[in-house]
Amino acid sequence: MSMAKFLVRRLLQGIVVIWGVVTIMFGLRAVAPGDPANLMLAEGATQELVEQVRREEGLDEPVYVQYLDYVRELVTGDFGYSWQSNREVEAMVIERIPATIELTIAATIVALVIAIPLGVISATRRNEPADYGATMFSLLGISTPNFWLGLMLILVFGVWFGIPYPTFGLSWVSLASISVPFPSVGFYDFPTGRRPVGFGEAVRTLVRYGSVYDLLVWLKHIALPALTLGTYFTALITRLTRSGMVDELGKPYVTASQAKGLPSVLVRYKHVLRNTMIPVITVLGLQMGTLMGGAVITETVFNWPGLGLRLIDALGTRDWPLMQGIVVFIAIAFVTINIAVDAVYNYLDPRVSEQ
Amino acid sequence: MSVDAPLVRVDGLRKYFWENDSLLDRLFGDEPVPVRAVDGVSFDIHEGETLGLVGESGCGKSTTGETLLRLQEPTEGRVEFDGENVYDLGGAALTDFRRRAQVVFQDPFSSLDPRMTIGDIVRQPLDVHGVGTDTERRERVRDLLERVGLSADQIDRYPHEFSGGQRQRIGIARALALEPDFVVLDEPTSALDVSVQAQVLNLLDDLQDEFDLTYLLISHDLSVIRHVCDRVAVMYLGEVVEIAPVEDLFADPDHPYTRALLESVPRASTDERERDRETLAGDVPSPRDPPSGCRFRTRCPMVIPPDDLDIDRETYRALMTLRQRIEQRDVSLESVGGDDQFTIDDGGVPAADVPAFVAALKDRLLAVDLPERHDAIVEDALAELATGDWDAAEDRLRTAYESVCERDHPELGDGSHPVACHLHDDAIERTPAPDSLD
Amino acid sequence: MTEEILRVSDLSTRYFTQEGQVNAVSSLDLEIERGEVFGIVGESGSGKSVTARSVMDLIEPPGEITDGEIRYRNPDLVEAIADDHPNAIDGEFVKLLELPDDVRRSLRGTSFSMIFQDPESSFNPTLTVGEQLAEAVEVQRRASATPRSTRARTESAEYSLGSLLLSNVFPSRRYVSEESRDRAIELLELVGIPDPVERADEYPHEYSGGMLQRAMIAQALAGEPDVLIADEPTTALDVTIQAQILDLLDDLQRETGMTILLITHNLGVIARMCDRVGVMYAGEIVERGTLEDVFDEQIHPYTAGLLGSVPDLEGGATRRDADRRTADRLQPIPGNVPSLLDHEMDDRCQFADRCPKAMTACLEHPPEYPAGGSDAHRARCVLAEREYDEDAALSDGYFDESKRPVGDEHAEPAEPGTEPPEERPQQPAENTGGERQ
Repeated sequence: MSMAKFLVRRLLQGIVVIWGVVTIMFGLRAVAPGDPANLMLAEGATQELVEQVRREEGLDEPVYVQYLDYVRELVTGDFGYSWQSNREVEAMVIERIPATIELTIAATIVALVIAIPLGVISATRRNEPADYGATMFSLLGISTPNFWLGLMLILVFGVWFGIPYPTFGLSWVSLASISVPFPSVGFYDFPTGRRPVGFGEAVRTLVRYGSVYDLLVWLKHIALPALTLGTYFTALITRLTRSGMVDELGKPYVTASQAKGLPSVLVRYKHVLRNTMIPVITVLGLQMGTLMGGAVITETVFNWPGLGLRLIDALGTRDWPLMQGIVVFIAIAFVTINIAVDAVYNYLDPRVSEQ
Repeated sequence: MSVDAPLVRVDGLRKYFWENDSLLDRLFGDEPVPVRAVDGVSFDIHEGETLGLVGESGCGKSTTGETLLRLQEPTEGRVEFDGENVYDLGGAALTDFRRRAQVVFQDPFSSLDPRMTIGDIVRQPLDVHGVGTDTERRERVRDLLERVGLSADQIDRYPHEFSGGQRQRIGIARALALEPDFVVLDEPTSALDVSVQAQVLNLLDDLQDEFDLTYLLISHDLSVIRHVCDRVAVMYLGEVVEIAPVEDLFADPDHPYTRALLESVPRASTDERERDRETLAGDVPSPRDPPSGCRFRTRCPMVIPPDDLDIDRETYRALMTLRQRIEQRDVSLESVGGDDQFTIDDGGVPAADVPAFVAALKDRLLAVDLPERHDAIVEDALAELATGDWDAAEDRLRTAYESVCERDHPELGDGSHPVACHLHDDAIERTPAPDSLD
Repeated sequence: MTEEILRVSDLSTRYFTQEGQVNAVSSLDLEIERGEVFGIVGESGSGKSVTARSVMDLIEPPGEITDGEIRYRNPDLVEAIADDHPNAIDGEFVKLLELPDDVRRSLRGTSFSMIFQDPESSFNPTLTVGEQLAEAVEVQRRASATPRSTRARTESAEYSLGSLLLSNVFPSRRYVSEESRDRAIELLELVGIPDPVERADEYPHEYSGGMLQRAMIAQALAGEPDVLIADEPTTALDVTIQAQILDLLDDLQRETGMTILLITHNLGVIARMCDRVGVMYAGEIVERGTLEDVFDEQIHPYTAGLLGSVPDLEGGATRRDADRRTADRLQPIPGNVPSLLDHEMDDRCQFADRCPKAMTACLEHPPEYPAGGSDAHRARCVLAEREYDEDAALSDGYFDESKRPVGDEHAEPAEPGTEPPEERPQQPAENTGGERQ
C-alpha cells in the first residue's frame, strides 16, 4: 500500500473518531441537567435576560439544529466562548497547550530513560535478582494510582524533607505570552523569589544570557509531576520491553546471528533491541493519549497550569464550550499522534510498508 | 473402481483471493488484483478410491480441498457430490453434506481445541448433528478411539498429553465420528516423523476398507502419494497438469513438471549419489501474475521452440529465461560491468560504450555459448537495452523465439491419463496403457 | 587417508527444565574427517540438533554440556592459544570445551558456521540481506586481521556498546565496512542469486524461500569455515527447491573442500549427500558407518525400522496391484518417540521397548560394538555381537507394566500397555509382530 493511500485512510478514520467525540460531548451536554443560560448569567438575572440569552445562543432551537450548528461552527474553527470567563475557547485552550505538552514529553522521557534499560536488563538477566527487582517495580508502578503517588511525593519531598515548594508549577508563563495570574501559592519560586517560566523561556534565557538558572528552576518544578505522570508509563514500557525482548531473543535469527560469530553487543542491540522497539513504539503512541488523560489528575495534584487543570476547572463550573474545546483538542492530538506512530512503524518495519 | 457416476465431480473450480479490494482502493482507482489460488481445476473422485492431489507449496492444493468441501466459497465452478452441486445446497441437504464429507487437517497441534478433552473433541460432531442418545454417543466415542489405536481409557485426557501421531489419530477419529463417505486428508502426515507417519498411513488404509471411505489425499510428499493413492492429480500454480493412475504416473510421467518433481525427490538408497537428475531452475511464479499459456513454461526444461528454429534444448531454455528476465524488467542495467564502468544517463549508455556494454551484459545474463545466428539476435536485443528501450528488446526476442507454450494454454483433456502439455497435444486420444485398470 | 577434523567423545548435553532433567544428548561419540560430508539422521527429539548446537557452542540455559570432549584439529589455532590456554591443547587438536567462552565464540563463523532449517525466520526481518551477510564477512575480516591474537578475535576489545552508540553518529565507527558489503555481494553471486547488487539491498521477506536459503548458505560461507553445520537445510523447502539447494551444497563442498555436518530427518537427503552417517535415537548414536554400512548392512533394528518406514518411490508394488491387501504395507516402528526425561529413562537399550528383536541382554545399556562392513561401522546393539535368539527374547508385554507415573503430562500417555499397536489385531503377519512371534 502506498504511503499516500495509507495516510488518507488513517486521516479518514481519525476524522470519524473526532466526529464521534464531538457528538458524544454534545449529547452529554444535551442531557446534562441545568439550563445553560442560567450558567452563563450571574445569579439573579431576570427571566427576560435569560430568554434573550437563550435566543442569542440558539438554545431554544430543536436539539438537532443546535447539533448541526455546533458541528458547523467546529468545522469552521469556531469553538465559541467560555460561559464562565467569556473569553474565546480557542485562546483558552492554546495558552495551556505548551504546559501540558511539556509535562507529557517530560513524563515520556522519564519513562523511556528508565524503562528501556530496565527492560533490557530484565530480559537479558532473566530470573536473576535484577529481573525480579524490575518486575516488582513495574508491578508497583502499574498498580499505583497517579493522584496518590503525586500526593505522596509532595508529602515526602515537600513536607518531610522540607524542600520548599519544589513541586508546584504555579505561575507558569506560557509561550503564547498570555500570562495569567494564579492563586497565591508559589506565585514566585521560593526561596529565589523568581517567577518560574516555561521550558521555551528558560531556553531563551540560556541562549540570551548564558544563564542556566531558569532552566534549573524549570527542572525543579517539573521533576515531580513528570515522575508522577511517568511512573505508570515507565512500568508499562519496562514490561513491554522485557517481554518483547525475551520474545525476540528466542527467535531463530538470534541463534543464527550468534552462529555467524557476531559480537553479542551487536546481536543484542543492533538486532534484538531494534526489533523489540517496533511494537514498543506503537504502544508508546497509543499511550500518549492515556498520558494526556493522566495529565488531568497530575496537573490537578500539582496545580500544573496545563489543559488538564483547565478541564477540571471547566467541569467544576459546567463551562461546556470550554470542556468541549479541550476534549476535542485532546482527541485531535490523540489521532495525530497515532497517525504519526503508524507512519514511523511503516518506516521501521519493512514488512509493513510492503503490504 | 466404480464405473458409475463419480462420488465427487469437480468442474472448472476457481478460487481467487482479491487484493486491493477495499473501498479506498477503488477510490484511488487501483484495480483489484486476483490471487489465482485455484484456477480452473477439474477432476472426478470415484467411490472407494483414493485420489491424490500433489504439488508444491502454493500450488493451490489445500485451497482446492477446502473449497470443494465448501469451507470456502468458490469464485467459479461447481462441485458435485453424489450428483448434487455442493454450492447449491442449503438447509437439511447442506447438513447432510457436512455429515458425509469430512476433513483431517495437517497440523495435529493447532487443529484440536486444547481446552477440550479428547472425548469431547471426538464427540462434538455427534452433538452438533444430534446423533443418538447420550450413552450411545459415549459408546461411539470409545469405539472410535479404540478403532484409531488409542485407548478408550484416555477419553478424559487433553490433547497436550498426546504426541503428534496420537493427536492425528484423534483428528481422524473426529472425522470418522459421523460415518462419512468422503474424507479430505489435508497433509495428514507431514507434521509427523517418518516412523509415526507409517503408522498413520497404515491406519488410514485399514479404515478405508472398514468404512468404505473415499479419500482425497492432499500431500506434497510423492512417496506418500504413491503408497496410498489409486489415482493422482498433479497441481502446478493453481492448475491440474496431469491426472493418472498411480503406477502410470510414477512409471511414465508425461508432464515435464511431474517428471521434474519425481526426479527431485532424493531416494533413500545407496544408489542415490549416482542417480543423475535434472533439477528445475528458478522459483514458482506468483499466482498474482501467472505466465501466459502454459504456466510451467518459465521453468520447463522441455519448452517447445518454434518449428523453424534449429536450436538445442538447453540453449533454447537459456534464451527463454533471458526473455523472461527482460520481460519482467528484472535486469539491473546500472550495475553492469561492475563499479560504474558505464555511465547511464537518460536511460542509456553512450553510443561508444554500447558494444562493451552488450558484451558485459550478455556475459552476466547467459551462461551458455550461443550459435552464431542466435548470438547476433541476442546482441541486437541487448543493444536495445543499452539505450534503455526495454520494449524493443522484448519485441526483438519475441519475434525470434516465441514458443507455442506461451501462446496457447494447454488443455488437460480426457481419458485415463490426461496431461496438460503441448508436447502431448496428440496424446489425448491415445489408448489407455494396458496396465491401467478399467 | 584423510585426517580427522573433529572428534567428539562422550558428549552429554542436558536440559534442566521444570519437569526434570532432559537427557538430550548422552555419551555421544563422533569422528568427522576433513572434507567429508557426515550425516546425522534421526527423528524429532532424537538429539541431532542439540548435537550440532553443542559443537557450535550454542547451547543456552537451561541447557548445558555436562560431560565429554570436543576436539578440533587446527594447528594454527593451537599455536595461537598455546601460551594462554595450554591445557586446552592436545597435539594438533584443540579441546573446545576447555576454552574460555570468548575464544570459543571467536571460532563461530570462522571455524564453524551453521545453516538453519527455516531461512525465513533465521534472518532478521528488519535488516537487508546484504547487511546481514556483510556482518558475517566483517566478523571474519576482523578476525583475520589479527590472526595470532585470540584476544583480538574476541569481541570485548573489538566492539562495545559504546562503539555501537557512536556508530549512530559517526558512520566511520559502523561495524560493517564497505569492503564487507562488496564481499557480501560477491557471496550472493557465488550461491547463484541473480542481480546480487540489487538483491543485497532487499529485505528477507522479498526473497523466496529457496533464494533465502541460498543467502543463508552464502552467509555461512562468509567466514570460510572449516566445518559447515547444516541443520535440516532443506526441510522447509519444496522438493524442487530442495534439489537445487542440495546441488548447490554439493558444488560448494567440492570446490572448497570444506567439511559438512549435515543434520536431517530425511533419509533421501542423507543418501544424496553423505559419505558417512550416524543414526540417532533418544540422544545416542545407535549406529554409524559409511552410507553403505548403514543403508545396506545395518545392524540396529531401529535403523532398519527407519528405512522400512519410508514409502518407496520406485519398485515394489503400489496399492493398485490386484492383491492390494498384501501389497507392500509400510513397516512402521510401533510405539512412540521415547521420553528423554532422566527419571523416566531406564539404563537399558533405549529402543528395547519398541524393538522387535529385544532380548534380555537389551536390559543392560549396550556399548558401541564394531560391526561388519567398513572399519568405521559401529552399532550400539547387542545384535552386532550375537544372533537374535528367540529363547532370550523379552516377552511381548514386558514393557507393558509401565514405570511411568500415570498422568504424567510429558510422557506419552500411551503407555505401551494401554495403547494397542493398531496393526497387531489386523495384520499379524504383515508387521513387526511377525518377528515378535
